[in-house]
Amino acid sequence: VSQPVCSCTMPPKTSTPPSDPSQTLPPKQQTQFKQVVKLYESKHYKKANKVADSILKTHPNHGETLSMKGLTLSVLNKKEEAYQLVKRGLTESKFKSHVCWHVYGLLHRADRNYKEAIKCYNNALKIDKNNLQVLRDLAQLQVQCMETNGLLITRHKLLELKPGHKFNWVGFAVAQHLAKNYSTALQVLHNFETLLDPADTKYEKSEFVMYRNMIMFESGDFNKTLEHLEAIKDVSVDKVGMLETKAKCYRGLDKPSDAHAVYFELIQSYNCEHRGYIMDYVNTAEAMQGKQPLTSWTEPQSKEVCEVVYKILEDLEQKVPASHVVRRLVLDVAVGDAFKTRTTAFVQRYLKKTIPALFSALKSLYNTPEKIEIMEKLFVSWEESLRTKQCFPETPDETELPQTGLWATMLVSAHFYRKAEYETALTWIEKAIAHTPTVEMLYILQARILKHMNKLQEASDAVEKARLLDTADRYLNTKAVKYHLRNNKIKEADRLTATFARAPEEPPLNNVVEMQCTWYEIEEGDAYYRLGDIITAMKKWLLVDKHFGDISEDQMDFHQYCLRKLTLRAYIETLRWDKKTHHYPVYLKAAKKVVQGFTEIYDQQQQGVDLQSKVLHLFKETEEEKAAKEAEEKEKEKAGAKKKQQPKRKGKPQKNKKRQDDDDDDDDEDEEDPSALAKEYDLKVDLQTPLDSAVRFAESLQQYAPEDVEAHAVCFKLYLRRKKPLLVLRHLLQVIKLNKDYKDLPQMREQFKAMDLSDAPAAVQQVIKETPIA
Amino acid sequence: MTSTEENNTTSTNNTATPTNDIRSKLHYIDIGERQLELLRTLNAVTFPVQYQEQFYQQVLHSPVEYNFLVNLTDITVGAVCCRVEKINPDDKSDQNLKLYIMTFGVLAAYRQLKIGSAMLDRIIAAASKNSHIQEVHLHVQINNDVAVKFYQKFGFELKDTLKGYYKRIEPADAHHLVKKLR
Repeated sequence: VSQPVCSCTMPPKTSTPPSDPSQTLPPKQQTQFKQVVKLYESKHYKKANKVADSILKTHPNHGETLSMKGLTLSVLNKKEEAYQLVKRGLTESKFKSHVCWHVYGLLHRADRNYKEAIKCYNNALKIDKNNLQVLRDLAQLQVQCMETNGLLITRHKLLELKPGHKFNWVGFAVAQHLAKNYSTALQVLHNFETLLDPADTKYEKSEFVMYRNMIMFESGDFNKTLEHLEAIKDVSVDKVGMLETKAKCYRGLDKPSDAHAVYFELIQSYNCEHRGYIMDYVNTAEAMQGKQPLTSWTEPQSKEVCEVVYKILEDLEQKVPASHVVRRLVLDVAVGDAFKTRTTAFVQRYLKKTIPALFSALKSLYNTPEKIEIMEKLFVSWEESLRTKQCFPETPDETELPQTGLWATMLVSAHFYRKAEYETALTWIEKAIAHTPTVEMLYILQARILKHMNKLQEASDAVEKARLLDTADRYLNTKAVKYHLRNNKIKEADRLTATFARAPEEPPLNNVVEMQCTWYEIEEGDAYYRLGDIITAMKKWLLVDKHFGDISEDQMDFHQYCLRKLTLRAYIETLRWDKKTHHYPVYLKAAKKVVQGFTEIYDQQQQGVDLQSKVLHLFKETEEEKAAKEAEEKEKEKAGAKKKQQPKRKGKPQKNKKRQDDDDDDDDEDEEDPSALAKEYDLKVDLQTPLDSAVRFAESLQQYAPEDVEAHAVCFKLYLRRKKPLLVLRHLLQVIKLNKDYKDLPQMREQFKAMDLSDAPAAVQQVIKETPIA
Repeated sequence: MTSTEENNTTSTNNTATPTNDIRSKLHYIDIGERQLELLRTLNAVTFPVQYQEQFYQQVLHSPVEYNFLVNLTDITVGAVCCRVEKINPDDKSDQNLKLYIMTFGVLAAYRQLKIGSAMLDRIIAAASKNSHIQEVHLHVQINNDVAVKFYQKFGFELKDTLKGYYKRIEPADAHHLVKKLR
């Protein structure tokens, strides 16, 4: 909330009906009111508050002052009081003050209640329809919520009022674009160009024309887009972008051979390792026309498709020999002897160069049993040859260094690990460790194998050994942390994260959460859950949700910025991406746990379990620790050592601005101190209405994880308790469709049949009775 | 104490054995706090003697030209730790010194590649540069013929044999080898 409330040129008294004397201020107080606004704008919130108070002494019911006071309080984190004051301000001014509505809108916006904020702004506009500030704020919110209809109106208004401002034109065009009025958008941009000079720099000019091209493409007029590309080729600096669009246009016009040529140019001249281009190249090849296009390299294909794609890739390999990716992709579609020869060449090359990432590169080949067999024979024979003769069987004249044999041993172990033959894998990796005990990667593989055998303490020990071999390696530190968490050793994990913390004197937790380190939060939550403390587990899982909310919120800063900078293509894509963030696997993973957690909280509460008693206060200082700390502090003071100043957190500049840029004169509590941040990250878990809180997560799962059986099972449980028989049925049917042999299915059917439908309307009961769930 | 036992594998492929260009693939790493675990791991597999933590702390404060790890293209395969001593302990000056090799070893799988030779050459060259160091010496378990032959190739001579030098391993006797530098 760093924007001015109202344009300072508007005197407040014109916003209230003159007939109401309590809402009009005498000149002295008017000046004071202006001062309040100025102080708020320059972020001297406490001073603003004081001045507001002095106005209220003589005019206790002045609505606008009350609202302003509320606004300053909201920034100072006194939310409840703030809302009360603002609401009072509204009633006192009889809902006729645009300032009060604007302030109310700002409050909602700060709390991310976007829809409510939009309503408030609209009300403010009813009273003062040409208020630029309100219009701008409203436009920002409308684009954030993708309310395109409202946005069109607002942007149109802004353009009318200030046609000299470039970004009002751009904003209006963008609004049209988002509303899919492509031709209008293009017309607007055309008018813009004729009246004003849209761009200053070469880059901006390029982006501007590319944006117009983007709109043309989206309108579906591919021919026009292609013509335009020709016309702008000297202005646009994004050569790759132009080629990509060109190819897409050809595909849209059903001219695959033309597209094929463009993709080849992209691969050869720009990026020979781009998997997307290579796949498009394959799909536009003549031999692939009429066949089902390839969508994934890793899924096994039919024999016919494999042969066709193999030929295409082989041909490409010869034309673009520098490409590693092509060489690897060929392995996915090769069969029989060709596969054997190629795998030998590919893998041996990397064994000689000692590349640890080799094995994960081969993962996708393990989808085909035939390939697994071939690889096993190859790898085992190489290992033996290297061990006994220091050479590969195919090249007996080339002597290898001992480490090639080491990597071959590791490869064999990794192979059996992938086949889930853990005992065998373990034997092999132990051989490798005996050969060269100083290599950290060996212990990491050993730990992985042990983890899958559920020997968590041994696995953790192995990772720790690896970590000690190179304490400056962050990857090893991270692995050690993860394995500690899996082993439920939360305090050890926390201690290790401090090693790489930015500011070691602050609690490591802040570091993890500030960095939005979701894997840690989920693992930590899992650990607490396994230890029986569901409340803390929920707090950790909910942090993931908070991060996604923050990411969404962060977009707000870009709406103004992108319009000014004309980086419109990236801007539009970001807007569309935001709607998909809940697609991300990590979000869905957390959502599942959260729904499960809330359901369990409800169940345990029904059974009368006291959940608070199970909370593990792992990081609370014990009495002895406190006493020791105090003694240490006293000694430091005695020695005359200066107390180290707590470093001021920089944090995200926009967000923390309201706290950091506080009054210089005030020496109140340091609002940047780390324990305050720790409090912010200590989320509240809804224990009163757990089932209600779970609903929005369940809805996300339903929308974004329709193929996930576990997600449906978890939602099934939730709706069973919420007594929504139709939703229960929906999820049950999905589980049946996705996996008839799901382990909990018989139990789910029983629970479904046992549902109490006496309160349900007749129509619902009918549906339940008639739908088969066998 | 050193160990350079013969590698069990018999190599019939003699062409292009990469021993001459082995030195181009070797890197020497100073032993700091970060490298201690590597050193401990190496010592544990190359020597029958377990060294105390005090030994490792002492190494941290010893000169780096005589205490280092050896890497063969990113893998740590060997290490050597020495200390500089006075020839006569009552001598007040620092003019009459000798270099004592405490540990010297290469992982079994990486022997017979001239890595040990490269390491010893380096030590001797560094010691020769220091005009105060008169000689280099070390102890070898009497049954370790391979080690004795190795050091003799570099000009070490058998000075005497100490009975009961090792407290916890058999045989307990040790040869005392010395190489005079000037």
